Amino acid sequence: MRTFHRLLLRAYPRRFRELYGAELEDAFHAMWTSVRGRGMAARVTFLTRTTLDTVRSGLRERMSTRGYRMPGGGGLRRPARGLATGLADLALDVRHTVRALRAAPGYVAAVIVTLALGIGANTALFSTAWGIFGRPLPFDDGSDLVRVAATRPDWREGMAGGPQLPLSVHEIHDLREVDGLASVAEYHRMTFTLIGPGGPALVDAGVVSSNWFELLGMRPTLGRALRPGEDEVGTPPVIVLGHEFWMETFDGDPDAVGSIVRMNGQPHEIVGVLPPMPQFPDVNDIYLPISACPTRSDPAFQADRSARMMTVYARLDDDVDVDAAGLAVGDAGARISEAHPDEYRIDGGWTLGAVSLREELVRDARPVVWPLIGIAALLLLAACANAAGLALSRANRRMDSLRIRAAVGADRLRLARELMTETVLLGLLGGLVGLSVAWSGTELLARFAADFTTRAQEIRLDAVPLLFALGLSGVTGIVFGLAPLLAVRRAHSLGTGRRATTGRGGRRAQRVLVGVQVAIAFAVVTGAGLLARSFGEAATTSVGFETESVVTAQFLGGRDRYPDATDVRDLLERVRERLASDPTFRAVARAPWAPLAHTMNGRESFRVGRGPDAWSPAVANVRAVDPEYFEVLGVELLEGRLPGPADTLGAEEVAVVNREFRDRWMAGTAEVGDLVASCPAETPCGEPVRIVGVVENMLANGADAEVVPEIYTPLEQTDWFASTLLARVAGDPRSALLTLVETARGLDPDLAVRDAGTLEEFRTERLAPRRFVAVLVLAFALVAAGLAFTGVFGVSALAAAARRREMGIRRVLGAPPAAAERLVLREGLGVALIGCAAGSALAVGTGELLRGLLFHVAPRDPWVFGIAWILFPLVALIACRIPARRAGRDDLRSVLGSS
Amino acid sequence: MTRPDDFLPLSTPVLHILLAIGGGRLHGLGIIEAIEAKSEGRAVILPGTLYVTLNRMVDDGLVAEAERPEGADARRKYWAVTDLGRAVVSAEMERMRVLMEVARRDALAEG
Repeated sequence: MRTFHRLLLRAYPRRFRELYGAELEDAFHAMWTSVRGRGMAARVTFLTRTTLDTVRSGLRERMSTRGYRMPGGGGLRRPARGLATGLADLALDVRHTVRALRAAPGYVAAVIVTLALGIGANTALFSTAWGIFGRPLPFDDGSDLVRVAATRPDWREGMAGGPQLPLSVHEIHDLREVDGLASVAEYHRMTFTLIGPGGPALVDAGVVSSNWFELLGMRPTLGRALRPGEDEVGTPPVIVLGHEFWMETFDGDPDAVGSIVRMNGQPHEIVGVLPPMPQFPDVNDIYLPISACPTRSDPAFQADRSARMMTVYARLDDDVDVDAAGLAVGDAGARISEAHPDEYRIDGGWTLGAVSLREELVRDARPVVWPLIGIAALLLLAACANAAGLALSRANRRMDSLRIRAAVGADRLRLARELMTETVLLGLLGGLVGLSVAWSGTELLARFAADFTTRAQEIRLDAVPLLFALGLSGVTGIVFGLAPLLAVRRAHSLGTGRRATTGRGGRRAQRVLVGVQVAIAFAVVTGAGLLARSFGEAATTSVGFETESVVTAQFLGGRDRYPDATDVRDLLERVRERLASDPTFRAVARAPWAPLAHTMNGRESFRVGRGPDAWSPAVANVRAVDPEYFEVLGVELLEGRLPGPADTLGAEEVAVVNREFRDRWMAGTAEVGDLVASCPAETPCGEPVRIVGVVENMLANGADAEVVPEIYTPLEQTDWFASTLLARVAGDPRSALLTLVETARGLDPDLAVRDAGTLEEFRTERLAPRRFVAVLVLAFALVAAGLAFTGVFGVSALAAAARRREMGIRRVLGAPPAAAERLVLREGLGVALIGCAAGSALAVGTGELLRGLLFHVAPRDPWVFGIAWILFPLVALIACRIPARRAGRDDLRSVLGSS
Repeated sequence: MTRPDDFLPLSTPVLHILLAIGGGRLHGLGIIEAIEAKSEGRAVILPGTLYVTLNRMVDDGLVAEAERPEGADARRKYWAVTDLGRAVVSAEMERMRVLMEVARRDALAEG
């Protein structure tokens, strides 16, 4: 009990304890002894009452400003300052502050709303950045994971972020021998038709080696992962379900594990369900071992060193870092190409490299997220400046009371602390309200970020972002609290009788704050302008082909029923025949992929020229198209002819190239009628084909994508698998699309359909990220501009109020009312114009920050800057005009009478 | 110079402590017991409040540390009412007397 009481005594300041501690303890003990015998209730009552009494009187003693007698009597000592004293002081300050703020609801609301927007926006972006870049990878020791890939000299062009080429089965086996790699797992992606409880469904399948899940440290929530050896040919096929697919298709039924589904004509047993955690490199519906993939388990495929389809990941040994692994893997690559000279005859060489997984996952998000964070930080700065202006006005209004308190002895620190307590409290409240902004903002951003990284699934407003918000709120409160401190300095010098300038210093500070807001608003508005113009350019720039009247759909049947390309071709040809009699369908083409609906990347090496004696190199995308393809898309023929029905298997092999190919690779060295041959770097060149025509460039990946040299070969002369139909239609494209799909389904009800829509819809979809960024920054810009112009209005009003008397006197002396107006206008507009000038410099910086997001617009686009320079002064003029007119119209008698 | 009236009205603990010590000298626990005894159990002061109040009364000069009686526990401080303290008590009693008279005259109180 004595220990307990000693603990209680800590409520008193140390000095007090020294004086009375022993006696207090004695008294307490004596009373306790007398109470102890009186039963439980008496004891509890006593303890409760003495505890409360001790704490209450202890705190009162701490808060008291009275001193203590020095030991030995006489003299006062200031209360000792310790943490507890500080806390008690703080509690008192907070109580004062809350009382004072209750009397100013307008001020409180204005500051909180302003800060909430700034803090909310920044918290949302921080949680996005944290989820993508900061959060540890959800995989066991994620930093030990690398991707191993190859690169070739002809691939380096335009390939950011290191090696990306997939590997072959032999190469993976070679990698398993490399020192420093603890384990090596492979992955590729396939689309299969899975016949499950809900009928046929197209599923994205990750095809992986059996150590895949172990490599990542992913443990299924239900059932099991793949077992070692389960990826060898001949083992019974099994699949592991992704969490979302399990929820959607099996309604989250635990009995799904152990049940059988059909795929590729075979029964597959479901052995496990993955936890709801981020997948990579793609988000897949299901996973299956490589032995279950028909292509991967084909002996011919396995034997071919150049049959490269697999993405390879490795876990590093504990003592190996990414750089060391890169070197080891590079050496291995050199040994592999030396050991098999025939298969790796490449100019400049085929090389291997390793990229850290973390880097790989976030590469695409970086150029988008960081500029947004920069803009959000500017917005917060503007919000701080705005709140600082409000706080300064408030402090100025309270100048009288501050001055009196300074005069009666309140020291500067004390006044400053009080004002600071107020702003920090407001900062925290702003942060609290800002959390609601951050909450919805984070959700929105997570959806948006999913376009750039699979890590978007990890964006959440949890502990770290919340701590960030707390810290940011506190810092914000301190930063915007610096402005009112000016008032303290002045109060103090006035209150203690020293001379000081009157209102002017405060007004100058206000003008600076508003100038800062105008500058930031200018920069953010121009940034928004640049992004909006880029969006406009991307939306209106032609992709080089017809999009509004072209519909497309991809049709996939199970491999059991369509084991090779010819069968799908027959089916699609029958669809085409049926549609031939329908006047809605002007032209129908078959293709492996539809532009815009599918991302089409893939570069190969070619030689182009009159013949093998006069070859020059070329790198291009190759596409297989049928004769109707260009007609459906309305692509212009620039030279020669298009592929026709006569270009079949057995006839001379031909190709058409696009304008980019002609301009880049044929200028001066080749012309239509010459030859082009595919020359994959590691094998001899293929049979040359004749270039028969040149077509206009098509931007198959969207108007804002890079123009790529392309070669089109007739579908009939290749063995490509073409499961997509494209149709040029008259009338309503949506109903035509329905007809197209129904016609195909009429021929085979089990056909799975995907990526169905008009090309225009796919085009719009591709613009969504760009639109999102533009709208987001535009919203920031509106907030910043709103703050800035309220500030300009405030400064003019302040100028009008401060000069009310002066102008009254001037008018009595004969100055026209317009002169008064001019004075106020000059002050408001002056601030706005200086802000614009500073803002222009800042805007150049923001423009550079946004450079990577711009399309067809320069970071210093004269249009955007010009319009901002017209708009800002104009709006500023309107904002100043109201207080100015009021100043001009002031009733003279009331002005002079009031002073 | 501090005048007795400056301290009026006295807070309950201060008044009780002054009355408890009275003309003698008491240590802390003694004050607690005396308050309870003299008020016939109606007033109770707890140690926490007692020492905070005592500390303040010393600063104000209402009580002062007194010499320890012979044979008393050496750790205990003894307190006695100062002259100022006595003057303050009389002033408070006078204030109460006036109040009492007012109350009686207006028949708000008996006696």
